[in-house]
Amino acid sequence: MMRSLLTGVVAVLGIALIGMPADAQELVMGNRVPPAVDPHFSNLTSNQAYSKHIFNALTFVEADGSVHPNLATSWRQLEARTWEFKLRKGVKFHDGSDFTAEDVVFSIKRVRELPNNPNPYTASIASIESWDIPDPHTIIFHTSSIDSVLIQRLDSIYIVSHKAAANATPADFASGKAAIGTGPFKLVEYVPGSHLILERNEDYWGDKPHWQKVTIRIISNDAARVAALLGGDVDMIEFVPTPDVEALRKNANVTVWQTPSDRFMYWVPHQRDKLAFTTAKDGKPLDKNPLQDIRVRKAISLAINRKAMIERVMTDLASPARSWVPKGMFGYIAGDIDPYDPEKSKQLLAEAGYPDGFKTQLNCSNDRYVNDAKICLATAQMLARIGIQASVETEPISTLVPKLRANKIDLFLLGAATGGSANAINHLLRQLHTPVGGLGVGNFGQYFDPELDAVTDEAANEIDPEKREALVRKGMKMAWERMVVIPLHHQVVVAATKKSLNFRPRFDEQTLAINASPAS
Amino acid sequence: MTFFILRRLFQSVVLLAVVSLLVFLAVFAIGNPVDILINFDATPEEITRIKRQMGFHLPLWQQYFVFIGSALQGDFGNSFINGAPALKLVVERLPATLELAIAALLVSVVAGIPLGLVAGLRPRKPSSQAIMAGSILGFSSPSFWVALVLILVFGVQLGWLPTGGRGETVDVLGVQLSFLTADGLAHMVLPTITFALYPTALAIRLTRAGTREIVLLDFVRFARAKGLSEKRVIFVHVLKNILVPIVTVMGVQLGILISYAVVTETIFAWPGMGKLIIDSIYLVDRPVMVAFLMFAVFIFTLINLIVDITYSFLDPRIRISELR
Repeated sequence: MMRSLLTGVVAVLGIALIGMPADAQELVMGNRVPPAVDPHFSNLTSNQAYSKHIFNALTFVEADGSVHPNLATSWRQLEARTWEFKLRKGVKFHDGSDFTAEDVVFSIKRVRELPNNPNPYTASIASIESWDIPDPHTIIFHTSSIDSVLIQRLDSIYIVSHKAAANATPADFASGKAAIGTGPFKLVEYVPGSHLILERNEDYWGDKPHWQKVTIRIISNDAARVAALLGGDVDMIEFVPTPDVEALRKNANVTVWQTPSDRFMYWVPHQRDKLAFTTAKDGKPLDKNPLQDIRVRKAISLAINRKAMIERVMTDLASPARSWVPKGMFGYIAGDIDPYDPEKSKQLLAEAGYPDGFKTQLNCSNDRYVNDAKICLATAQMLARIGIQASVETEPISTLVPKLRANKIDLFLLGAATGGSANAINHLLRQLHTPVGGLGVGNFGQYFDPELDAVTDEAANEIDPEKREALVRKGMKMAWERMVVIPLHHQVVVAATKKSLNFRPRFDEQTLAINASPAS
Repeated sequence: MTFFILRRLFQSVVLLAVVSLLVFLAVFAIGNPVDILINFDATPEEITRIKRQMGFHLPLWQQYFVFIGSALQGDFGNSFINGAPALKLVVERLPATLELAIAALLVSVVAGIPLGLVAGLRPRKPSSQAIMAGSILGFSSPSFWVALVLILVFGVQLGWLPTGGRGETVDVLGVQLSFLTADGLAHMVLPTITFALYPTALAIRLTRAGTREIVLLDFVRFARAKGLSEKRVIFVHVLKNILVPIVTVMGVQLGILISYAVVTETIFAWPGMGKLIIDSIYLVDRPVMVAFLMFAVFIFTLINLIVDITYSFLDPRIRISELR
């Protein structure tokens, strides 16, 4: 027994030592989150990234917010609420069947009707009321309102085959039976929790990917993912944990890639009249909500030392925000970064009637955003210097979300992204608009501002892109100057690869095999 | 004997019912899954619609009965994350976990019992002292730390062994097994060592304690006095009599290895049930969490039942006292 075990171990070591020569056309990725495979189930960024390998959508959004043809070759607004899309001809699904408007209709219906889906993609196509199909390669959508971001949102509605996916459940997609798309890769197998194997779609209509075979291994543990890269088991990893970035940069066998994320981190000062935790220093209730006063919000902003926060807490993996979206995206404004000025901050607090400050509570997640709990603690210490005594409560996002939806907390840390649209109008419509008829769904601080709403509505109804961008900028500027939220920074997306690879990370944290190529 | 088994079976069913209630209450306390999972972009109307569609608008007791009703038919609902039936997801992962757990148990029995015997028979020898010191280390080293050090040394620095994953598998009657391929075996080495550390230390301690106690008893002295060979004294008279507690504890250990492979599997990206539960907790996949917990309790109950029956065979006194 002992003897054969020993021989086994020796044989094993031998094989590992010889090593397998890496195929130049093979890519092994280490990803953090397992896929749903079904592109209409569970609207997570990670799922969208997996879907982009196997499926296509009608449009494709680039990092600058520009919208490119995908399965739709062109589109135009016939009327304010009518959009015509010309579909790409000659596109075949992985099973050889033709792609037509019927598949688009099927996919839209399936997104809406898929049962038991706690996180559907329905918000992206909420405005689509009806459609006409004048010919198999043209589809006309009629929307219930003027939807200026429809073309951006269609980027996340992946088109499945109406034949292969007829009556298919998510399990049929995971097994590969229904996972028939038009995308650059075909699904070979998915072993839940372990890995996903893709092979190049040789008949792909677009630029064929370099990789003949892509294996995506699911390694949720941060340290294990880094170890897998260092041990040579994977060629690249996503979501490099911030404490490891410095060491990886110094490693001669590894290249670290980064790009600004569209995830904007900010403090939400809740605007309701009676706050839950905010009192005078002695615990007596205050006559009004101090956070309603712009001077108090400005004071908080001036008390935050963003430079120190980014250097120390974020280990330089963030850039101070000048706008809700990073530079280069649609609607960017070069807003002011508030300097660290505790003197002026105290002065503003005194002017607002709080010379001794007040007591409050900071609520943060500890598992959702990069260093969220640490940002929370650092902010509390910074606020203490201007006399605001803030207790800190950090918890998993899953218990924080119900609290913020129920308006139970006062001052909390959130991050907002553009939903893959790279367009600031998303923030105006979702985080900054008064909640009404599908707008303001992310306005968790209950900031109601009719002037800002008017600008946003005007921008949403504007068809001319240039005029619209001017209006979006105007709205962004108003929100920035009125300090609706207290801005911190934009996160950075960090991926790491072997030295022999080039990689282009995306602003929306989607890790795509087509963005990796051999370094020449 | 039949009565004994029937009684244990009944106890197991009651236990499962109680646990189902506790598990349900615990996950219910996390909050409404739709609030947690739905995209920040969803409208309040959309949230209400989905809650109704999925039955989360019902009061707690109704939800519990709906849950029990379908659970009895083997339906624990579908995963919130990938839509697959939750129980299927858990059971699919069982072979991977079982493979690792059995390997670890084998290692701990094959290594632990002989080492424990040696330490128990000659407690003062330096080698025995070394074994005991080693077992203390095995007990007290946290497995995540051991796992990371092993990965760092053998996976990253030396590059001898893979850092994680299951490697190449062979399909045996629809079940994927790693230990039948060289690549799969290589992937098993480090997680098995990590996993076996604690049960090996436990086996050493149990065997040593049992041996030290029993070698002093009259029947062992008598066997020696009778002139039996030392081999026969140790392997027949001593070993047989210390096995009962070892079988019990190792049986429970197998249950623990299967159900709580969480840390080892997560760090080695081993696609077993432990990694599944961590991924599910991270993504708030309630049906999978519930299915896993119920399944783990089921496995524990089953193993305890088997252990009870096994040692009623090993020790007739237990069987008889139960009957009275």
